[in-house]
Amino acid sequence: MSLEAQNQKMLSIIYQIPVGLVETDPEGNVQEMNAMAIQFLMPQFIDKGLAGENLFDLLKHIFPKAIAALEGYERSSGNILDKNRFTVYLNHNDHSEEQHLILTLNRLSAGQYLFIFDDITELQKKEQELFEIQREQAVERGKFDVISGVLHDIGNAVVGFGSYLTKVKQLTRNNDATMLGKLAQFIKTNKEAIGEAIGAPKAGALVQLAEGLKAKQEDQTAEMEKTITDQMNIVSHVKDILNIQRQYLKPDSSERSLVSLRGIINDALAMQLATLEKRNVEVRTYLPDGLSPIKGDHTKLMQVFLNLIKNSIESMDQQGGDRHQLTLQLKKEESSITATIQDTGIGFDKDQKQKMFKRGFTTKARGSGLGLNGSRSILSTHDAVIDLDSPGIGKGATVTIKYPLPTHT
Amino acid sequence: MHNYESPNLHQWLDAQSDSELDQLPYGVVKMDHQGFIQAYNDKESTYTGVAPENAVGKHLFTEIALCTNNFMVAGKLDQPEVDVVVDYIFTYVMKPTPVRLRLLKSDSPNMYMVVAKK
Repeated sequence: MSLEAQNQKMLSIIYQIPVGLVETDPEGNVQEMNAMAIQFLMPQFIDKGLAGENLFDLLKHIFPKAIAALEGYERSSGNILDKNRFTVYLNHNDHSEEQHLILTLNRLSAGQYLFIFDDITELQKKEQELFEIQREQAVERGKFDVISGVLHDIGNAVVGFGSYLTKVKQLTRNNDATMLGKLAQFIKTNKEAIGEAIGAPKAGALVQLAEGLKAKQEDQTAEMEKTITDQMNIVSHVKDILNIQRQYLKPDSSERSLVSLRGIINDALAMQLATLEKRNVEVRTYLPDGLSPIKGDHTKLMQVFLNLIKNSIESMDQQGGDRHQLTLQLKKEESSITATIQDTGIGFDKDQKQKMFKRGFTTKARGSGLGLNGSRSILSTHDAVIDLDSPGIGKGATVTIKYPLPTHT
Repeated sequence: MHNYESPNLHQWLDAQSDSELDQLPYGVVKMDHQGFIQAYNDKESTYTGVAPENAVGKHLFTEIALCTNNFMVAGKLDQPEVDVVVDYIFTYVMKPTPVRLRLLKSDSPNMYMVVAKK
């Protein structure tokens, strides 16, 4: 191959590489320009009413920093800008689109500049998406930290309240009933002597009064003890729920271990029990004992079930009425376990179903928590599949989650 | 006489043979609706340095004139009917050359990029 032919070959390779290259003289007049540079820059030249012969004229509009850097550069050759990002706007079809470019600028010699452009619009979009996801995760993490702190404080307060109740219970035992009993006994024993002093009928009445006071005091004490015991039971229930919640907030709990779906569903229900009772929802569970555990992230699966139960409650609220049912069922099949959550809430139609798994989709006035999209991604990391079904609006909904069982070899 | 500005240039170009296209004083790239080149006339070849035999059968926007593969040129031909004039710059390999392009597309199976040097 002749030198000329080799040059032509190299030029045609440079012409085609997917990076914009422009060589200019010291005044910015374009000497050489490859295809990609024209593809990137022509729309900008035209938009600014420029013929495309001088690159500096364009950069003054779209990236003045490059001109400043170039004018301030004193060496006769070297790198002036290294992969500097800038954004241009493409105006076409009545709308404006952002295009993100990076520019590397080199002085090749006193009379020669080389501009290297690349389009990073797609990359920037992906970065932005990633950033959004990270931000959401940080917010979630922050929420967790706050909740964890609040739970800890409530836990301490509840423990304090519990020991206070115990103290009150003990105090009620040291009451006046014993003293009144002793007084009644004293009057009884000395009834005659007292009768002589104040008359027998009065002495008899005094004995009755003392005994009546004692009995009343004993009744009150018994009543108070019962109330305190009831309160202590409530406190202990609160402690149990707090313990369940805390267990799921442990930072190191995102590890895979063998978990019981039955346990997770029961825990999730326990956390929502007050809400369900308040709404008079009839809860039916078919959670057979002895199902094989599945390998998974306890905390995340708990979040999924809590979220699904909450969704059901909210959809029942939307539906209205006060005769609602929530049915939770676990069923073992040959190589999987299927969990179903069925509610008598508002349900959905086909159009809504298509949108439901999109990130950020909500029919609620205030979006809460994980969302179906989040649930699905957690489940997909467990190789589980989630599906939603509803006979239509106003007819309730069923969520089905299918977990594969670990295969035994 | 037909020239670059004629209103019914598309119909007229459809009626020309490849050798008749070679006689024209402006560049003509004839392609199908996907952008695969069917004819690349002599004038166009002198503008770009690409020999017609190296261009025919290739895809204009991704193989021959990569510099036109944006919304200003290639993007316009996504529309079902096109007759627009675009001021643009071509590079003969690396030398920038200002040109005026007329893009033609209709229900005819051929579409055209007509090129006049400014």
